[in-house]
Order: sequence, then structure tokens, then C-alpha cells
Amino acid sequence: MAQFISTLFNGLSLSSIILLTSIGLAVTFGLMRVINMAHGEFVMIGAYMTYVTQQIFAAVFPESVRDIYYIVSIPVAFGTAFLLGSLLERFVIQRLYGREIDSLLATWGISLILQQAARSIFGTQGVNVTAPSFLQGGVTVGGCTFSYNRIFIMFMVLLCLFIVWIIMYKSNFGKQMRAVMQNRPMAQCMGINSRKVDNITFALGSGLAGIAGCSVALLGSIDSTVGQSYIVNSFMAVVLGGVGKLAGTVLGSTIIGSASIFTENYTSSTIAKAIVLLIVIVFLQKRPQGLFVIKSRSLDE
Amino acid sequence: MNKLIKKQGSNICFGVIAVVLAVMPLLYSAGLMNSSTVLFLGKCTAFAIAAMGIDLIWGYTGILSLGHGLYFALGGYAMAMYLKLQSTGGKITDFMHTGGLTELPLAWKPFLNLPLSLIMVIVVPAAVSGVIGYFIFKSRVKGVYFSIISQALTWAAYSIFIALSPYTNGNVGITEIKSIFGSIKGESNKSRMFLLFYVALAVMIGVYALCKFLVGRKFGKLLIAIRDGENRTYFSGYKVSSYKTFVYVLSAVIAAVAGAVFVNFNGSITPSQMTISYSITMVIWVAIGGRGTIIGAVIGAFLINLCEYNLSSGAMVEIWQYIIGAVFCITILFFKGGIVGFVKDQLPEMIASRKNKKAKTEKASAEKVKA
Repeated sequence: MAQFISTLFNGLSLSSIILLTSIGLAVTFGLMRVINMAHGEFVMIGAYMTYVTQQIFAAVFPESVRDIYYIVSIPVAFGTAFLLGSLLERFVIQRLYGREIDSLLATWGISLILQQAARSIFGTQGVNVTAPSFLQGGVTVGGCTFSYNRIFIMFMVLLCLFIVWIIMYKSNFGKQMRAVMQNRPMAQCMGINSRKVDNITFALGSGLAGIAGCSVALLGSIDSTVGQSYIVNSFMAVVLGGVGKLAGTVLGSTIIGSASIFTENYTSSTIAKAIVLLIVIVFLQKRPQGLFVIKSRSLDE
Repeated sequence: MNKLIKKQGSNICFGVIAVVLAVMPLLYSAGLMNSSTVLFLGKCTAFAIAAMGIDLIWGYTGILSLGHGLYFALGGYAMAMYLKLQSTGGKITDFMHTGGLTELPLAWKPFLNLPLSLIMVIVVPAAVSGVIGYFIFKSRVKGVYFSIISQALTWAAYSIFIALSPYTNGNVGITEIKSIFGSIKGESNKSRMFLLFYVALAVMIGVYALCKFLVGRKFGKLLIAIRDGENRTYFSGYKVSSYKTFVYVLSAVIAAVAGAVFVNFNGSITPSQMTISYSITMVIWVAIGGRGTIIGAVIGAFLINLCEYNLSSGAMVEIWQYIIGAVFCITILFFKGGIVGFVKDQLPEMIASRKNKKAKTEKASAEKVKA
């Protein structure tokens, strides 16, 4: 039983990490139909921002308040990724709406540049972030250990999801956003500034990747390829869930994450992930549009 | 003359490239070039072959596969396994010893003789791509969804390949192998290297001829039709999924042949050729050279690899990544046709519009004088 619970916990933990990196994708890919291959690099930027914040705090502030750095690093990471995302949209993505495959390739070029920039600035060696003291250790219940930082990540995911949900479905901006994505010319006729909506939406997706970077920083060393290792799973989670639905992404990440951990009991972790991905691919043969399908009569959807 | 260039431009261009390549070994004999450059050009020949396959599937059919590195590596590994067994004399290799194997695994057995190995270079990737292509295209997965799925497949295959390290030597790959004609390193083995080089060149010319043959007829038009209007092609009564599967398998086989050629020059193969980023690197060659032209793929593969070879040493390593990223991005954004498209379409247009402007201003000034 204890074994089962700890497996379940690990599964949920992996799911929440995949979900955190996928929420941003669900926004950029699901709503805007832009395949942002540089999404992983925005995760990387978020992780490096956490590191930079920590270094600054270590240099400036006394020992007693240093732990606050992690709280500060979350808005810093979000802000940096948001700004860079906005710039990227302004100069590159803007020209690629409606050209999905080209958007994939162009953003790959961007990701090459960003990775090299990270190597030039921080070196090829990975850097490490020390978790703040309130996230070290864990709580043990009935023989299972739940580490604080994994619990924290789960809460962060829930918070992000909640905020995105509020923005998308409860705010005025979300209404405009959905209107633009569903029917651009009509939205423009209603006086919505679609350029601005595009820009903010993309920046928001990138900013969420930045927040994902904060939690990724807690889990291991940070180097220029840290984003790449999450990107494959995130894309699959979005596709499995059904493009354009937030709930689909949640379900997709949960399935991929938990299935990987449960398969891991029988084999090594990389093979488990590979097997799960293969199963997902086979499943997508049956339902190419994913779990949640947005009904449409258009032929090319 | 102008007409000839317009009609046969790409063939002429390819002819020039082939002749220049053919002269290289002679330059080396004359002492004007060092052996590593010739070896490198041999590798470029392999890259150009792979790029032509990518051009068929991406440039013509519009399917972006992020997994052709997998087929490149499968062909390369098939060749490398034969070559490795040649150097061990059919005995089991060191890494199998370390992995706890006592006799040659069944999967390695076919690679004991040459004809069977060469068949495996083609059959294995063809079978893998055939199964994948058949199912994916039948369920009408298309566009970016195909790209994302092929990316996941590549990643999965890569992880499994590394995990099977007693059979594949994991991350290290198969190293310390000679070419198919024996050792090609050093002055004394010059003739063997030339032989290998010309064989590679012949393969490249053969693949070029095949691609040109295919795209020059109705089949090629159909591929373009699928790219530009898949549903219309369906409605016209063509079984699009079969065509797609065929092109996918064909390009996978071409990539595998390229991998086999590459191993001979490189002397080793590692799983890094199997990754997503390597697959996209191949797409970058085609994009910058010019998609949908075949010759563009050849030009792109040679140009970029030669630039990388000359620039990515010493302090330029860092800058190279920026350059390639930026050039690729700009090509996709503004020059959809790559170098070939620029020379063929955009440049004449620019010249024509400038001429028009000139003519107009001259006319206007002439009218002014009259008035």
C-alpha cells in the first residue's frame, strides 16, 4: 500500500511538472496555432532567472532573508519570459500566423540562438539552485515520504491553472482572446485590437513557461538543454488532450505522467517514458484529434 | 541560351557541383589540398544525399518529418555493424563483453556478410518507416500533428536505442571502424580513399537522377498537389495516404543510404545522429538551399556544412550557432524559396522592377523635355 501511494505521488508529481510546461504550450499551440519550438528555451530562461535571483540575493542580503529569493524569482522569471515572448511575437511570430509548419522551423532557429546565448552567458557547465530551507526535506506519513518541493510544484500548477482559467474564461481580456482565436475578422469588426491580443496571448504562454522554469530549477541542475528534455512530453500531452482545450491538456499530462511512473516499476525511467509515448502514438491512430475534440464542420481542422 | 539556363539550370548546376567534386581527389594528389578536406567532402556528399530525401518529403509533399535522423542512423548503424564485425573478424565486440553477452546476438548475425548487410541498410529503415507511415497517414494525421508525433517517435527510439547498450554500445556508438574498402586514413591508402569518394559521388548522382526522374513526371505533380491542397487531391480520386506512405518510405531509404555512406567516411556512428535536433539540422540545409527544387537540397547541404567546417573552429564556435539560427529563421520568414528560390524568382523580379522604374523615370524626363 505504501509503495502504491508513493508511486501515485511520484506519478502526480511528474504529471504536474509536465502540466506546468504544457500550460504555456496549450495557450500558444492550442489557441494561436503556433508551434513554438523555443518553448523549452523559455523554461530554460525561467530556470536561469531563478539562479540569477539566488546569486543576487546571496550577494546583497543577509543570510536570514535569503530564502525569500525563491518567492521573488517566480515573478522575475515570469516577467523576463513574458517580455522576451512579447518581443518574439512582435518580430517573428507575427509573420507566421497560418503557417504552422514554418512557425515550427522559425522558432527552432530562435531556440538555437537562445541555447547558445545561455551557453555564452552561463557557460556549458550546469549550475545548481539550492532550494530554500522551507522547501527542503519532506513529510513522512505512514512510511511514504512526500518531499516539500514536489508538493510545492503541485500547488504551483494548481495556482497557474486557476489563474489561466480565470484569465481565459472569466476576464474581459479572455473573452477578447477567445473571440480573436475563433473568428479573427469578426472580432476585429467588433473593435478588438487583435494585434495586441495576439501579442499578449503569446507573451502569456511564454511567461507560463518561465514559471515552469522556476520549478524545474528545484529538481536538478540547469544547463542550456534543460528545456529540450521537457518539450517532447509537453507537446504530446497537448496533442493527446486535444488541441485548444485546457481540460484536455490537464488530462493529457496526467495520463502521460502517471503512466510513465507506473511503467517505471517494471523498467528504467527513460524506457518507461519511451514506451508510454509509443502507446500514446498508437492511441492517436484511433483518435487523431485527441481526447477532447472541438466540434467543427470545417474540412481542414 | 537564356532558355537553356531556365530549363536546365538545376541540372547544369548539379553537373558543375559533381565535376568540382570529381576534381578534388586530383587536387589532393597534386598536393593542393589535405586529406581531411577530401574526407569531409565525402561526408558532405552523404549529407547532400540525405537532404535530397528530405526535399522529396518536405519540399515537394509538404510533410515535415522531425525523424529522418532516425533513418539516417539506422542506415549508418547497419553499415557500421558490418564494418565492426569485419574489424573483429566476426567475433563479439568489446562492448558486448562488457554488457555481459557471450556470443554474437541474433540481431548482429546478418551483418556478417556484405550483400546481406547492404540489403539490411535498405530493408530495415524501409520496414520501420513503412509501418509508421502506413498507420499514421491512414488515420489522416497531417501537418504539424505529424511533425509532433514523428518528434516523439524519434525521441522514444533514441532512448530505447541507448538503453539497449549491450547491443548498440549506448551513448558511445560504434567506433573504430574502417571503410568498406579497408582503411582510408594515411598516404598509403590514398587509392582506397579515392575509390570510396567516387563511389559516394556516384551514389549522389544516382539519387539525384532518381529524384529528378520522379518529380519530373505526373508523380511529382501529384506530390505538389498533395502539398498545396490535400483534400482536393482526395476528391480527384487519388489515394493520398498511399502516396504519402510511399514518399515517406522512399525518403527514409534515401536517408539510410546517406547514413551508410557517411559511416564509411566518418569511421564511427553515434546515437547523436538519431536525435530530433539532428533531424532538424537536415531540414535546415534544405530550407536554406531552397525547398522543392532537389538542387537546392544539394547546394544547402554543401554550403552549410562547408561554412560550419571552416567557421566552427576556435573562437567561432559560439558565433556559428547564432549565425545558423538567425539565417535559418530569416530564410523561413522572408525567403521561402531559400537560395535557389531567391536566384530563380526574387532576383529576376527585383531586376525587372528596377528596370521598369528606370524606364519610367526616363520616359517621364523625356516627356518633360518635350513639354
